[in-house]
Amino acid sequence: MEENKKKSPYKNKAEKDALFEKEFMHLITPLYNFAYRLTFNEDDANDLVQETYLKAYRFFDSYEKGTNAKAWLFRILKNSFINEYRKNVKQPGKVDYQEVESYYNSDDIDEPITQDLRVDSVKDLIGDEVANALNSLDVDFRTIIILCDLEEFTYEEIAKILDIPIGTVRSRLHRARNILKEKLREYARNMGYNG
Amino acid sequence: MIKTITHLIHRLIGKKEHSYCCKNCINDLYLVLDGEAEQKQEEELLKHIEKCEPCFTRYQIEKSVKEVIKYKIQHKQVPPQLIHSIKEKINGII
Ligand SMILES: [Zn+2]
Repeated sequence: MEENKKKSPYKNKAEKDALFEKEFMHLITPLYNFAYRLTFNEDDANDLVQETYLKAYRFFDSYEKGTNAKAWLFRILKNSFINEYRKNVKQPGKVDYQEVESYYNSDDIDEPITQDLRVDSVKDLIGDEVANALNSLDVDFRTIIILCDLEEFTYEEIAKILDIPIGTVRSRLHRARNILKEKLREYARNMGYNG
Repeated sequence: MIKTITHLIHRLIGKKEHSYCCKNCINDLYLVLDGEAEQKQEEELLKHIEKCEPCFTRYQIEKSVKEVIKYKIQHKQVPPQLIHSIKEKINGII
């Protein structure tokens, strides 16, 4: 957007590298886990994370100190993922207006009947069951749950990471949670808690 | 009052009903759980669920689902050689 042709603010490369590492390297665990939950493959996750850091380094000068470093890296990683793994699947950044409209115009979009999902049975689920339920969601739904519930980004940050309006963040979250609850209910039922 | 009666009738005739009383409640409920609600919204919702059983139950369920996602899912350890290789690549860029 703005022409920013200032001279490099660093004394030398060593100083720049040290700053970069200090700012970003501590975020590698959530990034790696995000990459793994997108690809389900360790090698792909490695590649995605590495590419993310190399891109971040290339754009480090345009990164404004004080902006959320984690959200910035997540956005780069998600774009890399779309470019490389979903080329033919969906146009990135394209707003699905239908998704938002159908949400705001109808009274009850696919509201499941979840009365028989009980708090106790949710709490009794083990980590693997919860992970499996999450992993079984379509990538868009999985992503939004990861960003909101696991990584605790704000709606505004999620909107920026995914290049979608906040309205879509909310409607997609709502749908994702309904599907997730159905999956959790199946696990709970298999354990015999819910008849 | 009317709502309570409706609930009772639905229960008697075995009609499946929603696990909340109105769509606004669900929207507010998510805002509160996600830390996105304004203070007034939050106060109103908490006051509402004290009196509304379906919304209270729904709130508890949504809260527990959010919590198991946050606290039960195991995180994978980052391979040490990944960190090493990233640093090496970056240091090698001129
Ligand atoms: Zn209610």
